[in-house]
Amino acid sequence: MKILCAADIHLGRQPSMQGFPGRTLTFHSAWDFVVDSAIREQADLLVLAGDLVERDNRYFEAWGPLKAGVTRLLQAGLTVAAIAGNHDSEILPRLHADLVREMPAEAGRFLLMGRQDGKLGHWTQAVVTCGAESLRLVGWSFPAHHHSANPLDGFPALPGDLPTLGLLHGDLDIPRSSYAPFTSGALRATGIDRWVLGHIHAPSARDAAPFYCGSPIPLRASETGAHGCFALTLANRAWSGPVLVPAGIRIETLEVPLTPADTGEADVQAAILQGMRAAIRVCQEGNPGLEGVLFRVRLTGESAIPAPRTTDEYALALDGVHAAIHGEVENFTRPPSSLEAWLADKGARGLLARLIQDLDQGLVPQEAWSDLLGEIARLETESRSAGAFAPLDSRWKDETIAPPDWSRTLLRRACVRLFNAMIRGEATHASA
Amino acid sequence: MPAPSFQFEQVDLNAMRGFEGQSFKVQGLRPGIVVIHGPNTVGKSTLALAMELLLWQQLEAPEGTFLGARVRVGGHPQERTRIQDRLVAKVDGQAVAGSAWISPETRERYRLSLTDLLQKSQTNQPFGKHLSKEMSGGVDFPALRREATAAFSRRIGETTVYNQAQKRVDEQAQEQKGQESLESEIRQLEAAVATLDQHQRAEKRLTALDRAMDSLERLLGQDAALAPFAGREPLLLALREHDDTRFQEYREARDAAKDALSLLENRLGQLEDQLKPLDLPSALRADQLQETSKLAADLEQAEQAAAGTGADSAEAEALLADWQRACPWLTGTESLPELTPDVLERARNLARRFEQSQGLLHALTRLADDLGPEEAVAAVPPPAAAGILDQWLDQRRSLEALPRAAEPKPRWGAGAWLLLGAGLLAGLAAVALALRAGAFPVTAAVAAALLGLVLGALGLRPRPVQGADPAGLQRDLETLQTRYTALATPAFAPGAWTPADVANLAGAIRGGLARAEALALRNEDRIRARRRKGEETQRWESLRAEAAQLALQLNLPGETGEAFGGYLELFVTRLQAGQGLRAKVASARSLHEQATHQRDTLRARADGHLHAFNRSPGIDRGVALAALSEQLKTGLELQAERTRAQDGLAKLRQDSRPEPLDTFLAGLDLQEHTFQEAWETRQRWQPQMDGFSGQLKLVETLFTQENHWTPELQALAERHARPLGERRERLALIRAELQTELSRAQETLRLITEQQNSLVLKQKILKDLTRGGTLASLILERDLAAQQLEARRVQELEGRTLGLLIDRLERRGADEDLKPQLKRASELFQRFTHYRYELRFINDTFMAKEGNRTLDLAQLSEATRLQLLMAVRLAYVEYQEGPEGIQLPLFLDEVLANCDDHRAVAIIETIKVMAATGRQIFYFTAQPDEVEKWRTLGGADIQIIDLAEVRQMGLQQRIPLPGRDWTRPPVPDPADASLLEYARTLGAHSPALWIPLGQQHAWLAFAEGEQRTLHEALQGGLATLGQMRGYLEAQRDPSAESLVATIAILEEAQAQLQAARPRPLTAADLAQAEIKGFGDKTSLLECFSRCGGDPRRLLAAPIADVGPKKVGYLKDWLQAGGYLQDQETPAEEILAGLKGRYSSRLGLTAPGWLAVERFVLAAGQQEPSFA
Repeated sequence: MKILCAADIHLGRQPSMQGFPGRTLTFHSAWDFVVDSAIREQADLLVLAGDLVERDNRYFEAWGPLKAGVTRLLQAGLTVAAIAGNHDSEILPRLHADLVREMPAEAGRFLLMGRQDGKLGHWTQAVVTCGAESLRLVGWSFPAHHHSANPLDGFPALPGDLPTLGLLHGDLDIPRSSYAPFTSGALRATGIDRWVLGHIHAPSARDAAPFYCGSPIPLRASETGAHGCFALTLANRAWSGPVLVPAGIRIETLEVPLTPADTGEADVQAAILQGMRAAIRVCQEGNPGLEGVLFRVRLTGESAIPAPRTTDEYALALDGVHAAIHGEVENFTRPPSSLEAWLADKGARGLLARLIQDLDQGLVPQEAWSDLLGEIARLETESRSAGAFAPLDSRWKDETIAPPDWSRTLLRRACVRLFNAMIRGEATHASA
Repeated sequence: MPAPSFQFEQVDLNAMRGFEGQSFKVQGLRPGIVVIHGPNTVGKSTLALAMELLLWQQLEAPEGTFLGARVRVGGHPQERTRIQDRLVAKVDGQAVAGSAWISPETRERYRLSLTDLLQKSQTNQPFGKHLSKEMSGGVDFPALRREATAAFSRRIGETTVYNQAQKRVDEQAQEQKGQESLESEIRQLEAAVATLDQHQRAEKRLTALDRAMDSLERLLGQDAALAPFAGREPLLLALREHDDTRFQEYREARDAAKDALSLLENRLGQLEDQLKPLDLPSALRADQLQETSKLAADLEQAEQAAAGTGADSAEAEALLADWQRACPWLTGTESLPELTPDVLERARNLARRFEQSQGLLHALTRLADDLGPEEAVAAVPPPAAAGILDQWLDQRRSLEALPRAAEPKPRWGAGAWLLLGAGLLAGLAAVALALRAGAFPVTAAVAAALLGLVLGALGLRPRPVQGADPAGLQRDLETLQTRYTALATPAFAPGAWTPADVANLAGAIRGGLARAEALALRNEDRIRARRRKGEETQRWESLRAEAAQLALQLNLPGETGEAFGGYLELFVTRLQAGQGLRAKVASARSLHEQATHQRDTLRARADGHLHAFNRSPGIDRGVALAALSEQLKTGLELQAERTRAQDGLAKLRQDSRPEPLDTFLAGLDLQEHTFQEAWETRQRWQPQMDGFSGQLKLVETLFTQENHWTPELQALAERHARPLGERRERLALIRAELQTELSRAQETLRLITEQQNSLVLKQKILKDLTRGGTLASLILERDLAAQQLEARRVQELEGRTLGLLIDRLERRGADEDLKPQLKRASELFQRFTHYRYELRFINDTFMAKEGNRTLDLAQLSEATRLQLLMAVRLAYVEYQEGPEGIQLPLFLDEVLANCDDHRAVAIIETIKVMAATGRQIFYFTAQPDEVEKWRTLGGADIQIIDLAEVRQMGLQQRIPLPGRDWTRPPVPDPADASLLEYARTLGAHSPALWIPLGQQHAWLAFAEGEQRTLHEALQGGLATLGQMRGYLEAQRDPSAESLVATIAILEEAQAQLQAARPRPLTAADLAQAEIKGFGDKTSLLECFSRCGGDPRRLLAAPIADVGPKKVGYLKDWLQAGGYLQDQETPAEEILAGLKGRYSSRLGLTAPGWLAVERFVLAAGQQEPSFA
């Protein structure tokens, strides 16, 4: 039995990054990819671990493609099992009702897990048989947009010894989350063979462990790395997988280290393009069907050359893979050889040089600066509740901000910026 | 120990904007203080800028900058070159790293300008902030802080954007939520609309019925045409097609008979009218027409015959008259004897022979002339001599062939073998005996003799050659010699009887014989020709006599000589022609008379015929007869037609009987017009009746389908011919019912159509909502706004972090950074002011502390403010460089200008102290008093450079021509010196190609022997060719024209030479040129230097980082600029061209051409040399 797993499709949400060269992303691209993959891979069962649709857009734009896609899957002979994520608690029951009314013959193969007596928020089971293989499904659905209790608290005892696949949507090991928090230990305690999880957009597939499917395609520029669906295989009651069925597009962070030898804009351009090509090669190794890559480029190392202002000329095609730069090129370089030259200086430049070196080497800064890190962390916490930023919920939080490391990152940026300003404003008489 | 420093030793200002073509070098620069002075515009600022450009990499250079320098950095020599924005530093020829980058603010700290500093110190607070920034490492902390926090204010706007985006999402979501029932509504509407087709079909049928009823009504309305016959409908119905056809036939027959009768009567009248004007007898006959026609034809023929014979007769008469005029000498020839054919044949024969004889005689005479007289034949040996010689040669060959033919050729017999064997044995025995006896020759001879005997005996002797007895042959030869001698003349005797001589002699004899034979034949021809000519002469004379006799016999006039034959022929021919013409005239006259008689007879007949028809003959009887003939013809035709018309009329009248039409109408009891009217009415009514019937059938069909076919309608259908009123009433009833039903159907249809429209609208709304992506776009906008807001939050955090960092640095820097600089600045300030003031820095403001009071800058004098500023600047420079750093040169610009001597001494002393550490300090000024201060206060260690002098030296080195000397020295006397020696004495240069001719020395226009004139010109101040030309042209002295012409030719020569020679290329040209592909010309100029300035070598030499493409661009530039010439025109060719062009102006023997020649041949040098 071949099982394709997907989650966090967020049908109805338009990906927030610019389109890939030659490829337009729409609010239903992710769902189209899941449906096409399930049919193409000749899966027997498609399990959807929640957040099929974007809650804010659950009326028509998500509803139409969702219903059409499920209809197509059922007509193709697949069994579809879904649980409602925090975005789906309204739309999935409606979909089930429509299917029962409009195509009663096939509707029996659409399994809405986690609904009992017409209400969500329960654990339900179903047995799916395909040839000689039988599989027990057990799943829980969000009853509402938020659910602060641990869903595993009411996990039922499972009869028999069939291979079992659990479906759950929520935050793993985040105790105070309002999105169905649960723990790894509780998952293990259920004794279920495989858990397919939803809610986290970054895939975390690991063999034999509970895994988040992640979004089938990146929905935001911060969702880097490979995305797609995951295939599980059950043969003779033995599991194999999950195996990634990769999407044709992905976003990569590309760090381009520059050296003092890079003295011209052409050098920087060449370094970026070289990095892009190398990254494409790497990405292609795990995904021959790769179509496009968007790069978030960050210049590092030492260089006196400013970052390219425009990135239009960096669009390229390599072995059928289109690539481009997303957003602006971030410049984290510092003037060549300046840091070491000023380490012994007893003035402000020396202070900054030594501080940057400590931060780069992961050392604990001197006492004089350590309280500064704490102050920065406090600032970050306060800013979340500041009036201007209060409307932002955790969805919009910059995922690169991860205290306490982030306060070090922030301090380093400020140090480099100030140090560069000082160095560029002065003559290096030694080189005159 | 002095700190390492950067020191200029030499500065080469090769090219720089504002100083094009005026390059100069400043050499021998020493460490310490260097005062560079000179008047304004001499280049002080340019030199200072040049040194800064050689010092700082990032300084932007003016267009076309090309500089060089020798410097010492930390004591190590270094070469520096700057071409435009590229600064290259080299140590021992190897490039070393230059300065990486430097901000403008930092550079300015090394340049202290009085005006600049005073301008910046106008207000204390900005000045203090400016210095504060400098003191804090050049970073404007407040500006940075402001920049970092500038984004804070923008977050409000971005929050608003986010909130608005979220609001739009909520609104759209709410709107869509309100339409969640849309799908069920659509399903209901679809069910309702599903009945649409059925209702549409019903409505269509009702509409068709309505239209049919409408049509019926309309048809009934058209029955009004039948109103006049309302009571006679049976009659109309009774009228049938057949009746109508018969009526028409009868009526047409009656009308046709009437028409024919009328037509014939009219025609008869017309015929009578046509016959009457013809004036012909009442009964015409056809033979009358035939007779008239024949008479007309005969008369015409007779007239033509008479005219023809008359013309022939006249022509014959004219020919005879012509003959008589042409041969007056034959007048009366009728009396001559008859010229019979025999006589004529005889005369012709005689003439022919006469002519042949004459021609032959001429030919023989020419032949005899061509052959000439007979020639004598030279003596030759008789032909037998050659035969004797041939025989001798044959004999001689036989004799020579004799020895080979004499070899024995044994002939073998049957028993000869035995004898031979015996002979051999005997011979061998004899040889053996001889050998043993030692007398071989004798024995061999004996043996041979024995063998010969044996063989001879056996008949095996050698076969002799036939007749080849040598002695006999020899004798025969001698005999032949004797015979030949007897025959041949001595001249043909051979010198020696060798075969070659004899063969040649035989050939010569045969040649001589052949020539003698040919000559003899020619002589025979000559004899025969002369004899033949004599014979022919005699024959010709006899013919001539015969002709004379014949002429006499015939008594012919005229020539009877050589032309007698032609004459006689002509005479006979003309005479025969005359006789023929006479006969022809007689015959023509006779024929004409006959024709005239016949014509006159016919004319009389014609006159009688015409009179018989009352016609006059008129002028032309033929015309009258022809007219009569035509009239007769017409009359006969009309007469015949009249007869036919009369017959037809009679027949029509005879055929008249009672009208069938009357019978037909009487049978119907109708008048003709009544029948006609009824029939036409029926014709109009019939289609309506047919349409009504058809429409009724349609209504029947429709009503049957709809079950509306009522008995009443049935009755109507059956009685559709009944009175109209009934039909109308019934139709109106049915129509009313139908209208009611149709209205109901249409209302139902309208309702369904509205539902259909609503369905389409809702379907479109659903489609738009499903596929439009409106909400997805709004959500995306909201997401982006959120991301922007989050980015702003991060930016704020970064700004706040930067602010925290700056705060920390400022707190630390106040203790650690600023103190040493302020301390040093205060120390310098104290020195400058002789310890009157101390420096204080309070709240970004510099203050001067004097005793217990603190003064801000506004309270200080200008000079003191300047001292304070200098102290701060110098302190910063020292701090910036640090104790280990390299000390860079300072550039001071008239900073002592406002200082009194007291302050100047303090500053100079302080600067001397700074210079003593090894720093090079340049002081630029245009004020002599400042120079004097430095000279007197600075001491011997200060280097003072007069830049004007330096530049003048540079100019003198570059242009060797002497400038105008206002105190003119005496001009040396040429004495006996040659022109070249005198020019050398004068210090003049040789011809120069690239120096303007007008600037070149005057001696170049003079030739040898004109030294005295040159001397006078020089004494008069005319030192250059330009001066001389101007003077002479102004004077217009005719005696000086040759000199003016010489200068003009020299000018032209220089122009042609310049066009034909490559221009000299300088490094400045290269440095200032814009050459494609050469943004950086460092390697190019270096290579140019290696190539000695030769453009061709430059193109061929490898240039670093320059590929073939760039070399191509360089070559293009060189060619376009004239620095390269593919082909140089030879000087001789230029000279020849000048002579050809100017020879009319300056005679070729004029001495001026010597000057021109000297110039052309010597001016190819790039630089002038002294003669």
